[in-house]
Amino acid sequence: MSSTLRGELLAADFFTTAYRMSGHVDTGKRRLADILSDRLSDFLLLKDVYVSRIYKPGEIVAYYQVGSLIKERITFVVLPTEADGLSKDHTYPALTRQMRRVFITVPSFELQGSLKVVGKLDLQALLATGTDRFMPLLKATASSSLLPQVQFSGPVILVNKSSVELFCVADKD
Amino acid sequence: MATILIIDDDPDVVRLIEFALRRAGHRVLTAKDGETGLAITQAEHPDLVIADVMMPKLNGYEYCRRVRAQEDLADILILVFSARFQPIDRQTAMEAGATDYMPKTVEPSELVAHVEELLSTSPAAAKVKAGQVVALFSLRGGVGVTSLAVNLSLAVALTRRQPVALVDMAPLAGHAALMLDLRPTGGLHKALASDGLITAETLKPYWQIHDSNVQVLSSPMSPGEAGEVPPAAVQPLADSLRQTFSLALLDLPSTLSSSTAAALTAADRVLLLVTPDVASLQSAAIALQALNTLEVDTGRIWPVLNTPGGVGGLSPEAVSKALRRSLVATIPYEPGMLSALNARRPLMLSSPKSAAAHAIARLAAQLM
Repeated sequence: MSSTLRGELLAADFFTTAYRMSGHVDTGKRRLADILSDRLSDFLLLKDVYVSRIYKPGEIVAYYQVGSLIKERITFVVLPTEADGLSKDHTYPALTRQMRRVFITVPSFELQGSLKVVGKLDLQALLATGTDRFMPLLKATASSSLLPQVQFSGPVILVNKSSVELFCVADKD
Repeated sequence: MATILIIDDDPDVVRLIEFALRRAGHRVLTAKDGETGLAITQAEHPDLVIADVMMPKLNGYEYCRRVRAQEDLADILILVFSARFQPIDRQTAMEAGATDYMPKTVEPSELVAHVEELLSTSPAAAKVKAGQVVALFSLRGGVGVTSLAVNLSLAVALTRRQPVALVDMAPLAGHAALMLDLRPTGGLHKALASDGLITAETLKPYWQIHDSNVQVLSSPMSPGEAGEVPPAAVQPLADSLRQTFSLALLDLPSTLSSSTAAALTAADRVLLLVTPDVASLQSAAIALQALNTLEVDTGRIWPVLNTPGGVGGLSPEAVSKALRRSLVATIPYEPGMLSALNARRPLMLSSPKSAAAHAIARLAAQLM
């Protein structure tokens, strides 16, 4: 309800290595994935920012009306709906698109989810080339490496490609 | 009908939920931050609170902790409703004292359904299902307590097509029966005099039944029969009324006797009548203090503004501000009220389309 009720304001959880930040992004007519990949700005403006420490992610330790987040320092973003997280390109149907289960580590977290790939999965092309700064993991879960019982799930998690440490692909079903 | 407080800093969310809850027949209060929400919770004692987590000044978790730290607010249901939708958020909310947790991704209809479910399991709901006893009271005479009691009972009896009890607790010459064109027989006092035992069965012969299905226990006409209802008989009376009726209205005299105090304590709700003048306001403020001393939960007290005069009265906002309580209803001035009284045809029968009748009908709907 929140994303529709807040009009163009999208609620999301942003994670860095040590913090969880819940806030709203004014997306205008764009999608968050496109805003994050926009190289013209290194910052993401958040409204109503609530900060939690990663070892106690339910507790709110700080609140600010506005905050600027350095895009490069975001390790991943958990979104409430799938449509909010896919870039315009990802929403086009493709006959050769297939889902692959992946396991990824980023600082302080392990991520699992499904990746939409077209044709053969080419890791070099996925992580090192292309203009997208973040890749969408669908039906994804992030588990804290220090507190594995602390998990964050969502229909889509946007993962910062430059934060990826380990990338593993499950065998095809 | 329950009193529900929404605490959220997003006016769009508040508007949407408020609309859905009002449509479901609930009385809705709102606050835009946790601090204000806490103050309203203490003043109004709502049945259920829908609290956002991410709010300025006092976040939803801290709000829950502060409410739970106060013994007299322990029975309030708190539904945390947040854009933070992770299992850890639910766990944190429950540890802070929330009754339940819902993510803001749900539709308003789902939220309302969940609210109804929570309310149906609460102790307050069990009381309502058993029938509710509503006391109408003012420490200032002539503010329209009996008129409102009569018209409210008619509003419920006519719209719901079910019997409604109207008990005239005045020691002498109560006018409830008179307004309904019934001859006061002192049924309540006779029932008490017969063997002193009050049950649904022993009350049966003393009810006077109006065509509308309002059933009246009238007060006596003869000074020889006059007297206050013994305080010890009030609780059994209220219990008997709950057994028999879905709604029973107690028309209380404007004195704070031990009998009135017992009725105010035994009632599920107290409609505190006030008129828009300083004398009535002063009486209402004293009544609120008295109710506080009697440990009547603030959520059970519903201030109602009645406007028997035409011009020059204080505004509802000024009355609400002076009482530091939001008004549950405002009954506007109705020129036909006096002729309705003289014709012994109360407003709900003589002018059901008047603005005052509409306001009374809305109040009746809120009660039910």
